[in-house]
Order: sequence, then structure tokens, then C-alpha cells
Amino acid sequence: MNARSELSIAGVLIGFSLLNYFYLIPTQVVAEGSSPVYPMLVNTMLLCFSLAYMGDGIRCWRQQKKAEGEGQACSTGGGKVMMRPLAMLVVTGAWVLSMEYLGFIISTFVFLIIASRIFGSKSWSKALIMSVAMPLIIYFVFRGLNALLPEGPAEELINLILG
Amino acid sequence: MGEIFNHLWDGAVYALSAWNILAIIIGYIIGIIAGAIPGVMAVTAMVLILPYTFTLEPLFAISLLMGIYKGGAYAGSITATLFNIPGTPEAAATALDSYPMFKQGMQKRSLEIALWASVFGGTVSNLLLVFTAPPLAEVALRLGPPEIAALILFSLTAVITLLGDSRMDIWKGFISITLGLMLATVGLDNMSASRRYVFGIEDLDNGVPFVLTIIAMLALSEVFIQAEKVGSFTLGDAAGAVSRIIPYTWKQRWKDLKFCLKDLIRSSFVGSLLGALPGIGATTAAFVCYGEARRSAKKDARFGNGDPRGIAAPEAGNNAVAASSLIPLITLGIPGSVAAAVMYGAFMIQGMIPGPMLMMEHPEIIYGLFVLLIITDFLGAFVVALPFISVVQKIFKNLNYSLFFPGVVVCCVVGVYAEEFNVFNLRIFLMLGFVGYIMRKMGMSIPPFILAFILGPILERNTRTALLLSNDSPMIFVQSPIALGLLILAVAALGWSLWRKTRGAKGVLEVPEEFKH
Repeated sequence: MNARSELSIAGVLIGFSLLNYFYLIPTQVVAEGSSPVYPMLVNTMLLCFSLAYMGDGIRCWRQQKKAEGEGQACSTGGGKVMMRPLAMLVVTGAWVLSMEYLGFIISTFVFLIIASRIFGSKSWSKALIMSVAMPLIIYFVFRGLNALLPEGPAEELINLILG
Repeated sequence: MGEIFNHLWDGAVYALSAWNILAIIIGYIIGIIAGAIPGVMAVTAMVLILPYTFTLEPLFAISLLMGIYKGGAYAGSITATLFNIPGTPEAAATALDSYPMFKQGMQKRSLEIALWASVFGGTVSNLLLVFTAPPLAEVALRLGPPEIAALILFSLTAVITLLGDSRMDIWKGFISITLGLMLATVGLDNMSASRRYVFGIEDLDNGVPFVLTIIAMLALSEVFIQAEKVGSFTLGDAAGAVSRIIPYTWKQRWKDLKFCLKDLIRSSFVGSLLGALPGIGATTAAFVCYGEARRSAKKDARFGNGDPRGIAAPEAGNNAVAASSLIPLITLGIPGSVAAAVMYGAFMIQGMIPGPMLMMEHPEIIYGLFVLLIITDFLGAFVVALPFISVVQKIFKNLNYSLFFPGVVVCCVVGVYAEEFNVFNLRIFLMLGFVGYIMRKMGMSIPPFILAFILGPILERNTRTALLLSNDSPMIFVQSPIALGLLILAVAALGWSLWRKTRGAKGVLEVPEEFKH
């Protein structure tokens, strides 16, 4: 991660703590009748550490500018967010949102097929077996424990068959 | 001292049953499998199993989780030895010498050294826990709100100031902690019962569930991280490269034990001490112990080329962390590590609040746990681990990561859903999982966040109670010698660490970058 990214993150954190001070605490804490002392204390800590982080980010940026072409990034951390994790997030989100409507079995089946492709599965047969077996096993374990998972057409069909 | 032995006897009578021993064995097996798979740690397995412990007996549930933790603590060294792919971050220190020893044909030797070093370190740590917990619990009963608040602040500060190679690491660590403290304020105010940060959503009145947060920040974010590495898991040539396997005789075992004894003892105590300090995990302990063993060895030592001390020291150190990390949990009710935080959750699910009161009122439960901990190392190592090594080898060679990680996500979601049967929680789970992923990409450590999230309500309650007692005067924190001492220590630790980083010195406890998060 370069110094510019570090500065951006520090900026976002400072912005968030200011938003907390001037909007969130008054509307979400004080207005609800709660004492703002502790949230203000924690928010102040966040602001102070974010300012310190920004200070070091500026120092790092200046160092990089001075040593242009020879320096490494003086910051820490990973790097860019990649496409596969984002795809997993979107697919997992779609699965979670659709579970209420499609039921656990169908939504999990579709999720596992797509997620295994995201993770680079080359074997359709193994992915298919797992996508059918896993939701069914989990469903019947929960059914055996008298605990309900979100129900949809597949679950209703099973209930009809088993009575 | 006599009282401790009486309690241990009562605990043994209470806890030693076929079911609890079965729980240890099952837990150890799960821990070995989880710990051997890179990307899945024992803590992840503990977190996934946690919601299902609701229906289990308390000691069975806790034995199961301890078995997983101990099994995972050893298991990372199996794949580290056989394939040079550490199953857990702490095993990376072991791999530095165990893999070269394996390549020289000494597979049995390297795996067994790791095994008995684990048992040695774990046993020393268990005994330290047994004999230090009771006096510490008595001291803890005398601590009031300002002292407890100061202790929590010191705990949260200590981990950040001891780790990290730069000042930015320190600031990011503190930011991680404050974000955890902030998340803990969501829900009903625990003193006035009024709502905070719920944005009109009733489902948030009870705050963000603890199990959900841990699973999201640890397991789900890890799946996102692993998604970046698709295609990069490859086995080393080790499986085919070794043309002969050299037998390991009893004479050689005895010789290795004598050779490594000094490092074993030192690493066990160092690991136990580091484990008792909040936030310092097995990875740090493993690398510190490896570094110390290397520094104290003679110039002709073969570290990096299959020196047995290079295996024994980190393994003893990282296993010693397991029991000693429970010391703050059992004596003070303050979890000092993520695994201890999971154990805290397990106690809460069973309706017990860990801390000095539990030790005073139900000593048979706590001492029963101690007895089971002592047994876990021996039972797990010699009944489970040795036979399981070949199973782990087969699992690792055949494991299909493209199916495994999606399966982990399903287990996570089902576990979160099973806690309250509320679909809304799954949305929070997803958001937190992504936040955890982004934090890791930004170089912010997750364990301090989780510790702060768990300790946040305790910190708030004690801070506000202290202020109530003093009519809102913060001087109460200065008037108490213990609280003042802890606050001074916290500030001094921060100041010292900042001064060191400014001078360009590396972190006191060096851990390679890729194993920090």
C-alpha cells in the first residue's frame, strides 16, 4: 500500500469520527436518551489515533517524494481489493438475501455451484455432488433437531413427501 | 497449596467421565484436521462449532473446544513438516527446521520432536495455570471498577505496543481497537437501557451478536482473503523427493530430548508468559522462542538445516500459549486472546460468567477444566495425533480448496443463523465479513478488534461505574494506586514503543509480515 492510500484511509477515518461527533452521537445516542460520555470518549480516541496515522502518512509521503525512484513504500498493509473476493461477497450476499424466498436448499445449491467456480473448481461433477449433498444433509440435521431453516419450494416438497 | 490439590481432586471426580474424554478426542481430531489445512485455524473451527455447543453439557462443550484448540496448536506443524506449508501461522517457525529435517529422510524424527515438544510446553503451561489462577482470582476479587477499567485499557494497549515494525502499525492497531469498542456500543445502553446506534432497527436492540462478529471477522474475512490466492496452493516436491526414511530409535529420542531440554524449558516458560499477556498469540510466541533458541545456540548450530532445537523451541512455545492464555479469562473474566474469547462465549452460552466469582462459587467446574486440560495434551498427542498423521497427509493431498472454502461459508452462515434464527443477522454477518476483509487489506489486525469488542461492554460498565462513584470526577483513576500504576504502564509502553519505532528499531517480538493478521 502506498502513502497516498494510507492518507486516504486516514482521511476517511477522520471524516467518520467527525460525522460521529456532529451527527451520529446527537441523533443516535443523545436523542435516544443515552449518555454520550462513553461514545464521545471512544470517538475521541478514534480521532486522535486517526490524526496520528495521518501525520505519519504525510511524513511517509514526503519521504517517498524526496526519494523518488529509489524508495519503497514506508507503509504497511495488503494492497488492492481483488475481483474474486468481491465476487464472493456479491454471491454470498445474493444467497443470504434470496434464502428467505427460495428456501435454504435451492439457494444454497446455487450458491455452492457459483462459489466453487469462483474458487476455480474445474470439476463439475464434484461441485454438483457437494452442492446437492451439503444443503440436504444440513437440512435433515436441522429437521432432526426440530429447528427450522428458511423454507421454500424444495422444503415444501420434502414436507409433502415425508408428511 | 493443599487446598489447590483438594480442589483438583474434586475437579477430577467431577470432570473425568467417558463423555468428557470423548469430547477431548473428538475435539482434538477436529483441531488436527482444521489446523493442518492452511487458511483454516483451530480458532476458526472453534468459532464454527461454538453455536452448536448450546445443546451440550458445559464441561463436554468446553472440553470439545479445548481439544480443538490444542489439536490445532500441534497440527500446523504436520503440513509444515511434510509439505513446507504451515497449516497455522505459528507453525511457520517450526517449518524452518522441520522441513529440512524431513527432506533428509528423518520424517518420523521431525514429527515426533514437534509432538513431544507440544506436550512439554502444554504441560508446563497447564501447571502454571493451575497454580497461579487461584491466588490471582483472590487478588481479582479486590479489584474495583477503576482498577478493572485500567486493567482492560492496559491489556488492549499492551498487544499493540509490543508488536509491529513501524509507528503506523501502532496507530492502525489502536484504530482497530477503537473500532471494536465502537461496535460494542451498538444496542441498548447497559446502564440506562436506552438505544444507541440502532437506526430504528429493533433487531439491533441487543447489539451485534458476539458469535456472529467473531465468525464474520475471522472466518468469513479469511475466505475472502483465500479467494485472492486461488490457484496458488501447491504441494512441495516433498512427497516424491524423499527416497528413504531413516528410522528413529529410542536411543535417538532420548538423545534429542537431552539435547533440546534447555530450550524446551525456556520456551515453555516464555510461551506461558507471553500467552498470559493479553493479545499476544501463539505465532508471536513461536517466533520469539525460535529466535531465542537460535541466539543462545553455539555458532556451529544447524538452525535452518534441521536442528532439532529449531523444532522443539517454537512448538513448546506455541503450545504453552494455549493454557496460559486462559489465565486472564479464568481469574479476571477478561479474555486475553481470540481463542480465550471463544471460550468466554462458550461459558456464556452455558450460562456461566467466567471470572473470580465462578472460581469461588463453582470451583469443581474450573478445577475440572484444569484436569481435563492436563489430560488433553497427553491423550490428544499419544492417542490421537500419532495415528492421525497419515490421515492428515491423505486429507491434505486430496483436499479440493475450490469446494472446501464455499463449504466453510455455508457452515458459517448456518452457524450464525442457528444462533437466533434471524435472517437479519446474516446481513450484519456479511457486512462485518467484508469490513474484516477491508481491514486486513488496510493492514489492520483483527484480533485486537475482537478483543476490544468483547471487552468493550466490561470497560464501559466499569468506567461509568467508577465515574458514578466519584461524581463524574476522573481523578478516581488516579487515586487508586493499582489503576494509576496500570495507566502509567500503558502510557509508558506506548511511549517506549513509539520511541523505538522512531529510532527505526524493529518490533520487539518479530513476526514475519504474512503471518501477522
